[in-house]
Amino acid sequence: MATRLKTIEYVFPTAVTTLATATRRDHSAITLYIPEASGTITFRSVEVEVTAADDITVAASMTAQLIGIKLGAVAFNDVTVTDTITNSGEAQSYRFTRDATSYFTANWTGTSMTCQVGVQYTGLSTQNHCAKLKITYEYDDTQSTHIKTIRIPIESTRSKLTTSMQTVGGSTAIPALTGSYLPEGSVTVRQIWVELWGNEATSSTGDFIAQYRINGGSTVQWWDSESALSSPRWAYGIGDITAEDLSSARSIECSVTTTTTRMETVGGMVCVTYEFDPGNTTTVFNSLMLGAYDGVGQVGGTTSTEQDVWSREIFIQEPDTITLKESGVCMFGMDNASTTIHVGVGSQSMQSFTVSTSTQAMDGQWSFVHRIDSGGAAGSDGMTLARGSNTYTFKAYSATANHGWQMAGFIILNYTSSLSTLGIGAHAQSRYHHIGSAAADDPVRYFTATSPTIPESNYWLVGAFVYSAINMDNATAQFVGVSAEKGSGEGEGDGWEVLYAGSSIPDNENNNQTIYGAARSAWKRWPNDPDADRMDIEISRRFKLDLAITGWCGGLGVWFTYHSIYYTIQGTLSGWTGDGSGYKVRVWRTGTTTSFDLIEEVDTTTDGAWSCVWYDNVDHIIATASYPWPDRGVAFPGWELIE
Amino acid sequence: MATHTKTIEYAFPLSTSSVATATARDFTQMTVYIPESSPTFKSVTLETSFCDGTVATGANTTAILIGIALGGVGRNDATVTQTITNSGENYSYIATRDVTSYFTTNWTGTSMTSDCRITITGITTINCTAKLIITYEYDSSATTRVKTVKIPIDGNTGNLTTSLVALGSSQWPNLSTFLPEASITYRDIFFQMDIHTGTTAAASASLNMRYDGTNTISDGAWGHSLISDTFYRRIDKLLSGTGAPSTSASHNIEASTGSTTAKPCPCLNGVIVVTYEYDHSSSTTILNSIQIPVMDESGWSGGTATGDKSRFTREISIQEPGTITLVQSGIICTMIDAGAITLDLRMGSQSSRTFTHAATVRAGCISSMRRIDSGATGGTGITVARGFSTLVMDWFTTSATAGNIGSNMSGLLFLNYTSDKHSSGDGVHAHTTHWMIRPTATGNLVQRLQVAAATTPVINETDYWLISVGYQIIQIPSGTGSGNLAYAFQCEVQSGEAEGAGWRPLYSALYASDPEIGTSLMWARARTDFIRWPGDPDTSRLDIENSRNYRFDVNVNSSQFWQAAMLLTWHSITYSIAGTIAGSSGGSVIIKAHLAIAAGSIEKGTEIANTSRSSNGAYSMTWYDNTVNVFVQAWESSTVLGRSDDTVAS
Repeated sequence: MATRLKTIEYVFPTAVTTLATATRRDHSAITLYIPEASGTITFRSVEVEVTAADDITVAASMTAQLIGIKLGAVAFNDVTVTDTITNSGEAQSYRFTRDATSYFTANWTGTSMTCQVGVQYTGLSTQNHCAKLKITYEYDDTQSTHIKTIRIPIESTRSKLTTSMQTVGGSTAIPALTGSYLPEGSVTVRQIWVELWGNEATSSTGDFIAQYRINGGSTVQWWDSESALSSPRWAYGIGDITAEDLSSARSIECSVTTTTTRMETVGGMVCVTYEFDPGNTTTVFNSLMLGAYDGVGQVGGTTSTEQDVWSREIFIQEPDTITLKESGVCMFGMDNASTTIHVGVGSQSMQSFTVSTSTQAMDGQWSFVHRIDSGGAAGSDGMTLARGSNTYTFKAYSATANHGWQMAGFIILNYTSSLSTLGIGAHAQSRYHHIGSAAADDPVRYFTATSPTIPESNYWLVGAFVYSAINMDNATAQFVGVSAEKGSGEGEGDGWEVLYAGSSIPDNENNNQTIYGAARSAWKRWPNDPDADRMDIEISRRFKLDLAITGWCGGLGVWFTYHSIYYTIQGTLSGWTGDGSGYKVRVWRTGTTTSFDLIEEVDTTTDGAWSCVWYDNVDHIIATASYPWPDRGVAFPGWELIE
Repeated sequence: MATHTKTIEYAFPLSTSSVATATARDFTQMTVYIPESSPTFKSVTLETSFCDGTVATGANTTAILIGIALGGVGRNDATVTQTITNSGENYSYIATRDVTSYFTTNWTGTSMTSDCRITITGITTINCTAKLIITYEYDSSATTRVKTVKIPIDGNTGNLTTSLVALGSSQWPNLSTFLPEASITYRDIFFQMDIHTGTTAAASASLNMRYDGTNTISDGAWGHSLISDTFYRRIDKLLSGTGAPSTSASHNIEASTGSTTAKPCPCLNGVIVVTYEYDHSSSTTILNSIQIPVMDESGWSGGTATGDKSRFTREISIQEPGTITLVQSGIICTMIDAGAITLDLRMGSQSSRTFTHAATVRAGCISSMRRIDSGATGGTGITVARGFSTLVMDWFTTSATAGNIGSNMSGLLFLNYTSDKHSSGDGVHAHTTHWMIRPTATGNLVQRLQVAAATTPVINETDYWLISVGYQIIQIPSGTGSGNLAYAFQCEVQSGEAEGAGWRPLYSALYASDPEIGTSLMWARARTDFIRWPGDPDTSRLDIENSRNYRFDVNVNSSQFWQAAMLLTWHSITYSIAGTIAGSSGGSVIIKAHLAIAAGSIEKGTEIANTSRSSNGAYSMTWYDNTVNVFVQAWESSTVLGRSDDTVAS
């Protein structure tokens, strides 16, 4: 038995209808399933994330926001933050989060419970309410039924929505999720939903409703725009498609009603939370979220010769053949005028997304989703996945000089593999840890110390990126910085490590932003990582958010991805004196031409025995130890050696 | 004989007169001495500054002429026509010109007179400075050499009064004993202040300085009529003449102001710059004087209390021989904010020292300076010794209210220590060189300005250790649209290094202040971006000797102006990791050297050198430290392999 950690998600789909000020909306109950709760589970982080938009024809300010959570027959637990977000004369959308970990710990029983999320906003009418639960918990991996959430990117449109349906993300953007797509054994789908996002691109008054349909079926509204204030906001909606026939791959189409040519670069992801039998599973769908890019200034440039290039290593250790599945990068940025962002990964041909096209002042970020596998518009894979080290290289430039500010985002990386002998819980997975919730505005905000908990002693941190939703006050220049407090023995031993720094030139209006800090070199990659500058992700620490101007942090969290697939390296030193203990053994990884990297140091025990673990069996390994003079040393045969 | 590189400085006397717009200002002539024969000039910068002496309304600078002359050669003038729009404040400006080619063409002999002219169009100017920053290659066979050392002081912690008060005690050292080299001839001595006026009311006032205990040196009375807290560079040339302190005794540095509201010069500080010739052959002890950018904070300054402080550290490799003795050293740091700033700054185990900068209309950065040697108020801030020493810097400000936190914090370390002279001469000692990246030029920055670097560093030595790669950045906004900004300074990644393309962030910072014109001095650490030695195994690092473009992003639509120079510090003291391969089967033996423990920024176990040989015999690899244990692993086959003991290079 091993204790493992996972994050699953459930959503409350968008309700577009108007909610009057200071009036409560309780989303319809859904059922949450946590099958591993047949054994012992421990909630480590439960976050409620709510998104809404104002529904106003005259500018009004939000003065308070409430988020409630309810499990089963237990009473609602509400949290209210009272603070005025002064309207800049435009419509805007909002995102807030709250921590519900202790509520879940106190009230969860059994393997399923009904759940409701309630919201109430004071000061203005709102609409487009939706909510998501990010539930992170430890569980006993011997449980016969497991559950997981995977994400599949939907590539963004290149032309705005019209009153006619437009296919989004290709003709079959939604795989056969209830057909043969999910490879695990005995799959039971618990919830399937689409998350769609883009900027309204509102250029004049004229209300509209964005809607989607699956496989040509019934239309579902996911965003209702009250456009009296002509405010191009970032739009986000959730549609529950669990009841759709997804036995075959399906299309998703979108359109707008009433007012045509709205909503630019509409894309998103389809997500599924499903149970399966790990004992009856041979192939696993691995679905990761990793930092994709975080530039400090503008992307800028007008040609590929000026492009920014950003790379990271992704280590894969699941067994047997690694097959890249639908994957993509989800990007977000801020600008005050239209530009076309050209992007590509690896050897992909550059693909373009035209953003910030509204002729009105922008009141929210732009976004796009770009597929990095061959199923996207680029038509080729951006990276060749294999066991061991893989290089992700992201390239981008703007077709217009001085645009592409504050661009940052995340990768959705999906691949299949065989099942590890250590169990599916050892596979690479992305877990979420809630750091802090929505609160009153402050240019510098310190979050109470916290840290993720990783139950495994041995793990490889594939990546960790911070995520924050920010409702920013109006200004023509903005800055966002996220830092983590360093502890003793971590680099400087005190002070703050920058995890994200971005700046933008927005229009002088309130706007909402989501930022993603990849922090590629901030965290230790494995527990004994010798890089003394890196921080231990399991050490509780404070986080800090810096804003150039007043802004309301909707919340801060970290997505961290690790696997705990490891191998034992062991041997016995000969030729020792005394009892054979206390000799230093150094273990290195190396390629045939690259330098040696020290990965572990261990001391021999009695009779010269030694052992340690390592997280890769692709790179060559060599172990060395010192004999007393004059024998000088030895490398241990039996391990991979340089050739 | 070897070729080495150095940077020296000479300053023209402060020009205090008020000069009308478009009228030439000729600085008093000075003599530049370069005793080493046939220098090869690599980067020569003429760095000037001027203050806006406008008394009524803010005026725009529309053109800057900078002229240089050597000996009897005709002055060479260059004009940059560029409007810097005033926001309605008094301001000052640092304007630089690349005069490398002029020096290359016209330098002869070992000394020449030099003249400088500036003509500023659009404003009346006052209190102007000019100095030459000369980077050149020289032949190590030279017996008489020249060098520049920079000696910081403990700065004031508050406003000046109308009475002269000493800044600390005897902070002007007895140069005759402070400088250890033999047969010294002083060629220039000046005190450079990069400070701010702290103006809260209009009045005509001078800043009065006294260095010799007798004679007061005042700058031009400046009306400060627009009530602007102006960044201010002042250089007092003190080689000789009235007010120059003797070189045979220590002195107090005293200061006062003509008005405690117009020119209180909060936290006044400065650095003593001494350029002197010495007999290299006869010298046995050397003063090593280097400058290292050591802090560059991205967001608001950390915290409102010590528990929330910011901390930066810097490892410094010292390899000069003999006893290492820390002498007068310190840090200048600059920052900006719209409101009052109370900065608590300390290094190492120093006690707290608080620098108070009162609220006013901010028209440029503010500065604070603190010593770190045993003479520092509050105690020693660093222990230095041969090998790797670490400087720890802590700071916080005492308010969490926007407008009082402080942003764009960066700092420069002036590190001075004495050592024995290396057997290869002091040319291999640690030294800081200055390389122009972008001088004052036509072309303002609207959101982004990208340029090709004016110069590319050349390191003559085959083997070198880069102690520091950093940048001095000069930034001035134009107009009133610049209250809360963010800066991003990046360099181009070239083919064959790191990602092979794209851009590398070197400096990113929030700049939160009043939306006013004003100069900011900033220093970028670029701590992990460039190779540390030839053969550095960290493939993410960039090659220091590659030419490359630079770009500066500012998220504002109004014009910005930026200049930059690289501060590059290295030594070329080498050691050998050597031994003998025995027991070979006669094949090719791969030999790799590793660090046995961490050394500065280098992780334990890092491969630091490699070689190969055939069969048995000697091997040797170059390394740059002999204080940290290394070991060697040799591999011929899976059964023929070996490892050395841990030991230091020799």
